[in-house]
Amino acid sequence: MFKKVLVANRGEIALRIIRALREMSVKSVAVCSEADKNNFYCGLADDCICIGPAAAASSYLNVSQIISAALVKKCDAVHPGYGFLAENPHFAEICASYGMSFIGPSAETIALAGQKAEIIDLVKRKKIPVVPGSKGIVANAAEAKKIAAAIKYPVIIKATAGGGGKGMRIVRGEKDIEQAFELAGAEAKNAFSNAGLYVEKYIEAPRHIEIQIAADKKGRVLYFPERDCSIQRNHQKVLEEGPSPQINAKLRKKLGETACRVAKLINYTTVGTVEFLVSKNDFYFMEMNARIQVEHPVTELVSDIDLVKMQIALAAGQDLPLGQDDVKEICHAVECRINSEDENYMPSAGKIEKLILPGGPGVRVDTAMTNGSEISPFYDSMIAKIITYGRDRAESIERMKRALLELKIEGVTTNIALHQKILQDENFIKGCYTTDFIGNMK
Amino acid sequence: MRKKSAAGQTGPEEELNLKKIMEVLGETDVCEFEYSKGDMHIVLKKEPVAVILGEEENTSATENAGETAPRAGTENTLPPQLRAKILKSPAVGTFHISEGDMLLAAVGKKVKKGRKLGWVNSMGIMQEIMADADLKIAAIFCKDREVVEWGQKLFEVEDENV
Repeated sequence: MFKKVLVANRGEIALRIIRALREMSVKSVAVCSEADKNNFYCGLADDCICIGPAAAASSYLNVSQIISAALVKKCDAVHPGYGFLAENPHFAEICASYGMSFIGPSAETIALAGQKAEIIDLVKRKKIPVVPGSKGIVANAAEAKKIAAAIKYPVIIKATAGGGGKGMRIVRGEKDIEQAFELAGAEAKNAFSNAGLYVEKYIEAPRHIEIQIAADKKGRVLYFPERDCSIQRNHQKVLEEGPSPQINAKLRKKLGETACRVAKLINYTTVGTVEFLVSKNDFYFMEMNARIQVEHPVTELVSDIDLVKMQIALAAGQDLPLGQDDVKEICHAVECRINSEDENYMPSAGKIEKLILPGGPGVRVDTAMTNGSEISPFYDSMIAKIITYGRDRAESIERMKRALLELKIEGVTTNIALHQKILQDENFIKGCYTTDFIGNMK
Repeated sequence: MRKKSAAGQTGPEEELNLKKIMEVLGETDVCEFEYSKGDMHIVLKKEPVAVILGEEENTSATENAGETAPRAGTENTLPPQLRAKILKSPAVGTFHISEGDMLLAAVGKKVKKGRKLGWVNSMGIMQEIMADADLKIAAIFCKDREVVEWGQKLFEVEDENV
């Protein structure tokens, strides 16, 4: 097992990793920017080191400062969390070149998982269903037009290095494709330094279902009960639940087994997520996320397994501690991402003047915010993840309603009201919703 | 810090590579870059960034200096605390105050503009702490070979020209 791990991230995920390391008796070294020096997570690590000014490019994305911090603090592993450098193969490679373990898959696997057009092509050759679309990167708008004509409109243009809705355009007719292609390319280049685009059939009103997997270095792979992440705004997840009310046991098994095939195909190790679009009983592979995800607590509660501890142990070379039959669904869980944002989903920076977090039976809160914390314009505006769980879906939803009433945040605008509206919605209560749910909500 | 490179590509890509180098140079602490290929020899330079002034500590000194700064060579009239500034670490690494047996800085020592006061070893790259004026060292906050973080106070110095 590792002796000392550098946590190359900030906020709630840094705290989540620090907690896991402490429970495993592994020393932790937090990193922080100048803006985060007084953040709660810094004080809970065994050691903390400032790596740069507030701007993420100079701190949390600054590879040389982070590697230097790990070296001077004599760390033997680096945990990247999610976002920032988590899916940067170059970073994983540099960690290895300095003799430190990267807590995640290999650099080659990260690179492959990150090239969405390539991985789609790869899984397609193995007869795993994918949404019909281009074979790899599309060179120009004229080629995109040809592909769209063949697979029929509507189509979606996506950035090959993309995520979070950036570099993405839905096109409903030929007249719009040229402009959409140019805009998506410019956005992708700006966001990911990679203007590569691909085109695929746009599946109207699908469900976004993802399967958590865990894999050891001997090639054994496990899947966990699915998370339903269909409730999104601007292609970003808002509320997740697991298991999905819309997936039956037969489809669950099929999705799980397919996810394991994808993981094996790219020699995946540690924990990751395979995302699918599901339309009725048909499913299509979308992408593989080579990291621990924001919504991992849903699966942790549903299966009663600590995924972060498992990830660290797998990266240290340990075998999977359980078999597929040992993975159970012991409850239902819902997660609400509480963001500091206005009703148009625009981030709202400022100081949290007052913060009262919910508690009681069936409530878990993952946050690094306290009274007086600043929501910085430099970083993601998520304040907390509230996760509730119960014997069944109805109980976890009722607990979430109660938890959101207990939650008090003053000083910044939040999306608590949006979550309350979702939880009251008739279609949500019935479990009948797709990715256009928020857009169609009354 | 200086880095030399004889590597490069030919043709229209060369211009693009140079642009990229300039962009990278702008984002890093590298302050000088030499590029040679055939008859071509290009030197890119930017102002050294190894010295970071403590903002709070420096504000009053700068404001006062701006108002009352005598010409270079004239006698100091301001008290030392108004001529003081803090030099901070430009990187995470190991702080060095000596080179071999030579001590670069000591409390009370006067250092000429452009001379090195110390350096931070960050991943094997030397990030020098240079005197941006004629300085007198008032305090040294870190020991030789101490691990330092970004922005950590290293020196308090008095500007001899203020």
